[in-house]
Amino acid sequence: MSEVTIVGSGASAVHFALSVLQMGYTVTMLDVGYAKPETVNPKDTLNGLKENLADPVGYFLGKKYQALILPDAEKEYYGIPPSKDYVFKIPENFREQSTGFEPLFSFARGGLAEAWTGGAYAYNDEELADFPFQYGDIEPFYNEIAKRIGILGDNDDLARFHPWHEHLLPPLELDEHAALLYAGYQGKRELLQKKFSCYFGRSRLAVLSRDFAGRQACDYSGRCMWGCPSDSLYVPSLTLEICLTFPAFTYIPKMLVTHFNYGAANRIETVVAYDLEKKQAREFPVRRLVLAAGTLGTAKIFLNSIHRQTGQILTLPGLMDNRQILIPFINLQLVGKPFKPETYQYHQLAMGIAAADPRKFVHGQITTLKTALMHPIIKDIPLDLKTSIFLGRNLHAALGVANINFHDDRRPGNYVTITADPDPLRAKLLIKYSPPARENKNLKNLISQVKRILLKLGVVVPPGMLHVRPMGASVHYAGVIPMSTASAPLTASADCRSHDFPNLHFVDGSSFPFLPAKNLTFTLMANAARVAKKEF
Amino acid sequence: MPMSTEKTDAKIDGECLALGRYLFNQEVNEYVRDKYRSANAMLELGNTVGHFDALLVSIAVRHPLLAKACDAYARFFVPQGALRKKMVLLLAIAEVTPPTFRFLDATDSGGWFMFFVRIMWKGMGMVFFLLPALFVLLPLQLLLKMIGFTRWKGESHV
Repeated sequence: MSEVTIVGSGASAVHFALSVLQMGYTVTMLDVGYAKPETVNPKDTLNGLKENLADPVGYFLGKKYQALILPDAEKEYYGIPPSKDYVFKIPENFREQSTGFEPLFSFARGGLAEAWTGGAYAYNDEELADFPFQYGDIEPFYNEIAKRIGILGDNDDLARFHPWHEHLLPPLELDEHAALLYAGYQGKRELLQKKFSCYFGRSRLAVLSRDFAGRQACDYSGRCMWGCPSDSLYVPSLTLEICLTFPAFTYIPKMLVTHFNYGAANRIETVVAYDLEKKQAREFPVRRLVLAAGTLGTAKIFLNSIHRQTGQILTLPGLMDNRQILIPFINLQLVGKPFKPETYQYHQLAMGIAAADPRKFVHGQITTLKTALMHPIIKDIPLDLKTSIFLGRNLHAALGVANINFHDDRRPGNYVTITADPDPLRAKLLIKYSPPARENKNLKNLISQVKRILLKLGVVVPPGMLHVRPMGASVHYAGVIPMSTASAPLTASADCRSHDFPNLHFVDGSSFPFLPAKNLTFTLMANAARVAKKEF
Repeated sequence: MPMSTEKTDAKIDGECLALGRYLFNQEVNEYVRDKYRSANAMLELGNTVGHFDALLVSIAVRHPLLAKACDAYARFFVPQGALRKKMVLLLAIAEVTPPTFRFLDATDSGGWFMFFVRIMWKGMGMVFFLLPALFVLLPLQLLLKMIGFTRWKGESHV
């Protein structure tokens, strides 16, 4: 029997695993683990793929045209590339039903961050105010994760919001559009800061600007969205590969964990998984169980376990997610100019809008569109398609999207629960979410402010193209079993040990008591390493 | 009676060629036609359309000028109809396929001023084609709706 059993293989799971393996523990990881397809033509640039692949349509749009966005589709500007379909594949036995929430689940080897855009921002002391620890307590673990995965950034105006930690690599070369925007900001820096409390800087990214730990620096192939062929954009499956080199590590894929069984003094004795290959339940004895299946996956396992043993259907309140707004824009300086596809494709610039309450800081990521598929944008232009294509061709270099993110609080009306079913495999996860009161008014004010900021940079927002994404779309879920210094049921200790089960830890977002506007993944990884150090 | 597969394929190929000429000013290659055909079948773009939708596609493929009028009309009056779906599908295929992706990635020469002139010209062109289309197609669309002709009674592909 392993000393530690971990459920899931996402960002927090793999960094927790690596931390305890380095401390000498034996570890078993149970995971569904849908695997990434083989990287095609790794030496080709994006346009090289279009030229050289035998079936480029199959690669870019999918064999079933799943990345095609027709005029009757929801207003999304990026489809999920077919090469990343495995990230969002769901086992047929997994059931959920949501109200006011459109969740995405991942059962991939490496979890949801296999499809992330690499934003790696540390939480500051204000954002950690509801956490039972301060920045100084987690800082060594931010440093440790930065050392493991490689994070780039600059000590710029955004450092006032994003603490400056160790092991930061120099930033990548900006593409022409991002460089123009940044220069525009530098020229109007004082005005933007004074009038709009707005600050720009380089994105902190889990991307390599130089060769690092056996991985290659970004070679600007332009393939970021379709899966980095050089592994310079960090994904958790890379850390899983490192874990697999430890003889004390056992990875068991194709296991959909449904619940755990506990005995006297609520001590967990076994964990039960449905073997997706053999189509039967399997039971694994455990000493210490670590749930890292993602907030919603962890909640389902936790609720199923209690229901199975006591018959109780519990509700876990406080579900959080970042509201996101996509604001497409056109940079007038680049109208009619050609674009260079061989550049880094995700956000290279970030923006922050300070608020009187620092917890309400608004975080934005600026993506200049180069190699994204254009048909989802062209179809929404309010002109005939031929004229829209003309516009698309001549505006391509000028297009960008600001992705504006908002914080979220734990509110009792937002919860997860399950349906009563004696078979935990058949139990359905139920999710209910309502936005905070006055959200519409706040969003409207903020959108207007962002439009004015962009206008100062010579950038206009075309009418009718802004998109308020549904809750659940950001995939930054947190908050249903929060860390708390009070030993209350259905909460966790400051070091993420369950207050209900003494040999259970939660190392994913489920234990976060607050969700700042910025991407939580870096903090998930750092917190997992912190829990390993504190509790093991 | 449904058309034979061969006849249907030939019709879809013709549709693809005509829409390709209209949208990209060039003949699309066999690979694009093959993909367009398979997507039409897989996504059932021809099977579930209404009578008016089918009529609009059949007019659009006759001549680029008719395609322009139908395109302008469809943008405002049938924005989620079969014609726009088929054109967006063809655009999506073309943007990842050589040589059409190079045409779609290229800009027109002339800088800001010429861009402005061209977009004004194209905007006026859209209005020029939209107005007669409106006079002919809108009453037809309303009439077909009134008499409840919601399904194309004949062929399974438009």
